[in-house]
Amino acid sequence: MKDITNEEIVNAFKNIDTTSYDPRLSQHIAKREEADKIYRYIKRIIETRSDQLDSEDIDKALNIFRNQEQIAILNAAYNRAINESRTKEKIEFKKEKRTNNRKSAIVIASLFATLMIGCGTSNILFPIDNQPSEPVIEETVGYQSFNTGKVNTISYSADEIAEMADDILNYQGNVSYDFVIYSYFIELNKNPLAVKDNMNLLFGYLYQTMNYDINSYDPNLVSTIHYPSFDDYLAANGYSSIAQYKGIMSNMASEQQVYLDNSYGGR
Amino acid sequence: MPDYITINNIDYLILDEITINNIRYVYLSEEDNPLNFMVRKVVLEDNTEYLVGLDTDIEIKTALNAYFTKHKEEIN
Repeated sequence: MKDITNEEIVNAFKNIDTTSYDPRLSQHIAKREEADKIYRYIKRIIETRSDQLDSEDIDKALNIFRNQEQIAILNAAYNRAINESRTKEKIEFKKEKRTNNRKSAIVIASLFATLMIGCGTSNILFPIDNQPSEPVIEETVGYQSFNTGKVNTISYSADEIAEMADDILNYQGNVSYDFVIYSYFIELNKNPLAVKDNMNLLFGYLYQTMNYDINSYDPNLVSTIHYPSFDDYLAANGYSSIAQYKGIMSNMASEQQVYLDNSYGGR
Repeated sequence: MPDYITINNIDYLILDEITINNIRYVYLSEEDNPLNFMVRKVVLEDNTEYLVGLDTDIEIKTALNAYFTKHKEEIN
């Protein structure tokens, strides 16, 4: 397996004069470079230990990152981990010991978990509003009472969000594109924990797809939604927070009697 | 030998157990899909240990942060 070299990355971008581009595009390119770093990082880690590992497992693991957008995968996995960790299902904790020759599965799972969490908590890749404070890790073991609490188990895969992006780009209705975006926000906000990340992912897909042939799209669509991220879209429209966006768009939809079809991304 | 637990007919590797603020968190990853990862915490009821979901966003992120803090050296 041939690694991606730094030289290849540089060559890939050498014909792009980013100084003449909108700064947001430069940020987007920086994210792509970051994704390539992640891929190379995983590849180097796994190959370093390849004497202990099964080559089929290594290929399987690396193909996850070859075939799809790296950031999208890590983002989706991180969000899914958060959602899965909130399930209210209660399971008896019965450990099983097994003789397992697949050391590779254990090593890869551990590496992926660490990498995914590291990337997920990265402010560079996935900005997080409320970074937790450093945890106090203790040696003693204690228990607390079971609290079912209110949980949200809705999660959206990267593929589902990519499909939403396709639906937006093919939208033929009469509602303005801002309201179309808002309708998907309503859908993705069913998981408020991940709405920001998911909306950023949605805008990332929209941006990349439009870039392939931007002149083929309705100029109104381009001027309305062609932003590398939802954060950029909010900033460009003068919103300082998601809460403000939600409040203003909700009022506007009500005042203008806009009917937001539930089929927009609905399920 | 690794520890496993079966949840909904899926085998999960127990990657680690970390105690934070007197709560024991268990980190699980599906054996055949390492990107399927989750955290549960252990509660004791009638002398039986159960795994349950975490309660808040900040609790999840604290648990994830603890795992990364403990293991990040492995990927350096």
